[in-house]
Amino acid sequence: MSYLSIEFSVLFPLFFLLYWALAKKPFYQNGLLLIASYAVVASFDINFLAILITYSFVLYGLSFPIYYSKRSGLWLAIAIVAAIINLCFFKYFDFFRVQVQAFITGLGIDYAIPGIEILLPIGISFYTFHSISYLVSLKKKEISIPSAVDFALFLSFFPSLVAGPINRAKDFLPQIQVTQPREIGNYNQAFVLILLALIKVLCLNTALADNFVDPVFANPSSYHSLDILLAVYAYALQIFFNFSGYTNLVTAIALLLGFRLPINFNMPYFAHNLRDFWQRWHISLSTWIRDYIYIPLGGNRQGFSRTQVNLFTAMTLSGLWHGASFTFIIWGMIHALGVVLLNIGDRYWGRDRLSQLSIWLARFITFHYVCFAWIFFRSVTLSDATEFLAAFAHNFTGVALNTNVILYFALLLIVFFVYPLLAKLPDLLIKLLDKIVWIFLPIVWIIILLLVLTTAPAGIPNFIYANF
Amino acid sequence: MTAGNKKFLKVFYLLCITMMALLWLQQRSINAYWIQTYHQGSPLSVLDKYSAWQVGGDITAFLSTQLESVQADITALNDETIAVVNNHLINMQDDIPLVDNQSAEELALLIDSQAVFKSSSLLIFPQKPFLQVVEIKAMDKEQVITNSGLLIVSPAFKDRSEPELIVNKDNRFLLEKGQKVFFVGDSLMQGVAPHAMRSLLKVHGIESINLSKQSTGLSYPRFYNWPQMARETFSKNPDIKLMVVFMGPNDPWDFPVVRGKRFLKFNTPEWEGVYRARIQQLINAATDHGAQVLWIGVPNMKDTKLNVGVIKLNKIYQSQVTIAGQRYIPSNDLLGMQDDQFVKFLRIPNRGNVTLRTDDGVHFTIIGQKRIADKIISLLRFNDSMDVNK
Repeated sequence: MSYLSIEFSVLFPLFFLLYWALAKKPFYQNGLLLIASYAVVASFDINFLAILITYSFVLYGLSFPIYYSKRSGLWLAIAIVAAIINLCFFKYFDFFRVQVQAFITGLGIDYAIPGIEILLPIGISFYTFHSISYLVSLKKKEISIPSAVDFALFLSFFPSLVAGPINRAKDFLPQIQVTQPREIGNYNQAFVLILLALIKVLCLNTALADNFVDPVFANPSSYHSLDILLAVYAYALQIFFNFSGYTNLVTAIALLLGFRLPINFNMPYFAHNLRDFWQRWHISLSTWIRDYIYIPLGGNRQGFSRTQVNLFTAMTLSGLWHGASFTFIIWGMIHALGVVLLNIGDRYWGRDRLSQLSIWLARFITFHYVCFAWIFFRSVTLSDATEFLAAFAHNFTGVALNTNVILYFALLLIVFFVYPLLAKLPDLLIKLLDKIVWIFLPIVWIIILLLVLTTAPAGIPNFIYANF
Repeated sequence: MTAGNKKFLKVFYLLCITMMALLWLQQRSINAYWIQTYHQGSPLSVLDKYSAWQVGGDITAFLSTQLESVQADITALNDETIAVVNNHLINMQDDIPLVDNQSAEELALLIDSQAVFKSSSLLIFPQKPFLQVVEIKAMDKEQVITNSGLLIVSPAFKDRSEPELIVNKDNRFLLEKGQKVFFVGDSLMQGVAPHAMRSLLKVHGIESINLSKQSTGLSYPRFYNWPQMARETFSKNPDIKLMVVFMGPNDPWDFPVVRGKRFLKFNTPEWEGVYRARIQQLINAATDHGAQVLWIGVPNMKDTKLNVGVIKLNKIYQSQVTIAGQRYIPSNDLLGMQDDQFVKFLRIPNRGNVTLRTDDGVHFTIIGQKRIADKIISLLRFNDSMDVNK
């Protein structure tokens, strides 16, 4: 069930009523949340629920030796390996089957590895990440073993199950384990987040995809280079709107249930270099990769060159995490290479030299580098990506323009410069709403939402990151 | 009352009033969504008899008309600007990219890549699709199920039963430079069309129009009206000579014919009559403009109920398309499927088991999409220097 569907919108007020009727007993609220989370998983496929429950049981069982045994390091390793094998089996089996098959065939062996029907369970990447943060915190004794229900809810909390943000056990378990009654967060903030989500995902994401991105990526060779360039910019915006809009929505749902989710975006396209970009884009993933891959690899403790190797490995793995495809690996490597080059530049020419020279130039270059990487992220195969780039290089002449690039480039330029102002609008709106007497609030919201929903094209758009 | 309770009541009030008002205002799109998703009348439609309820739908309808006119203005402005830019700023040599050396290399590659299938036991591609004549079995006219009564047949239908455009013996569709191909369909076609369009453009310099749209079909014209859409497209593009149709999985369900009236049950004679009429309307949109139709059958689906449905649809497509004198081809054999069984993998020599379908058991992987796109291309014949057959 999509959180943008009519079904969800109708069911949510009912759930909300039931949930807050149990306000005095957070213990019962947790039970209700767990049932709701499992219902969401089962609405995709009942097998996904079976996998999640089995996974939760196994890891909960392994929690005890990690916490109590003298050989806790060994048990931690076993648990992490189990979690990763589970993820890899569902996510990468077919990818590796094809590679191994190519290898076998290359050796001249006539054997076909049987194809097995494996579906990618909803949210598996995210609950795997949740659980690894839990296991490590348990080993470090930062947390104690929670009750089985609290643990199961920590893995499957429905707002962040489908596509994050990635919760840390140390921060999120205490929110589940409260004994004092929970409180609804700032509801004006929650409703503004929902509004942002609807504008971003229903309107902007779909309009950009349908008009500028999808047709060009499907058949780049019949488009003019300027159309192609516009398609890249449009995709950069589309994926931001899609993912940050989704994050806004689930943050709002969590707020209305009395939870706080980690911040995932902070004006990413305003980054003045790649390092900065990764502190602003999908923050819960990049900090996760830093803490659970980069630092365990050695981080920056073993000299400059080893640091770069660690960075490169961590970012390439982050690429592979997005999907079992070479396009994602290349995407990760482009970012990795960018950061390594940035580090080398910083070392020999001084830190943030370019940003000091001109912050706008630095932002412009960073945005374009990120856009270049997006081409690989969006392309279905590597040859699609090269064909896209070839079309961009060749189609300056001989092909007619399809879009009014002058208007849209001008719009983009304006947006780029008023970005900081735009980012302040939600807070301004919250302040305005705070001043309105609550009894009139529905009128305001009905008018706003009617306008937004009427502008939105029909259909429920997908959350791109729900596939990862 | 505690502060927490007060806050809850405020939010609950806000949620409920806003939700109810939006259900009232958005009733028409909700009803359309419900029918499309659950194939039965929306629970909200019981309120349709009250005029006060209808007002909500009218408000939204009025608002969307206003928005559409603004959008139309923007589109007109855009079109003007694009025309000016195309005429003056960009040095246009030709509307259609010329076939160049690079394309010749790609053609060679394409032939190479298809040679992979040469020795396959499940041979479905012609051995050398661009070099050899494709044999197509004539349709078995006796299998055609006719359905009288509701069937609407184009008056000029007999004249077109032997379309003049097929001039070549091998029964392929002949395309001249400057003529266009029009792709119609649902999300299945959305996956397939881009691959076919690329070969058409790069290898043969043939442009195409792709309007395929997810969640569409012939069952719910209030959501998306393909026959009407096709007519508009043909009026705007008289150079379309071939319409390729590939759709179905959104269709094997009950649907309403008159708004608010009972649903026609899937697989009943009444349902079939209306469905055939819609197929015919779509075909007529093409034949009335002198274009031909290539209709691709839907492959087997993983979901049992859906599979039974599409098998029935295929029978109807095949017979109705054949009655209209157009060409139907099945797609099951292209994906290594026989009978009614769903198969996800296909064994290809030197490549092992290749995945052809995605996890949903409906859509295709890229390899699956390409197989269908290649089949479409192999049914075309090109009257240009690049056609090796010439």
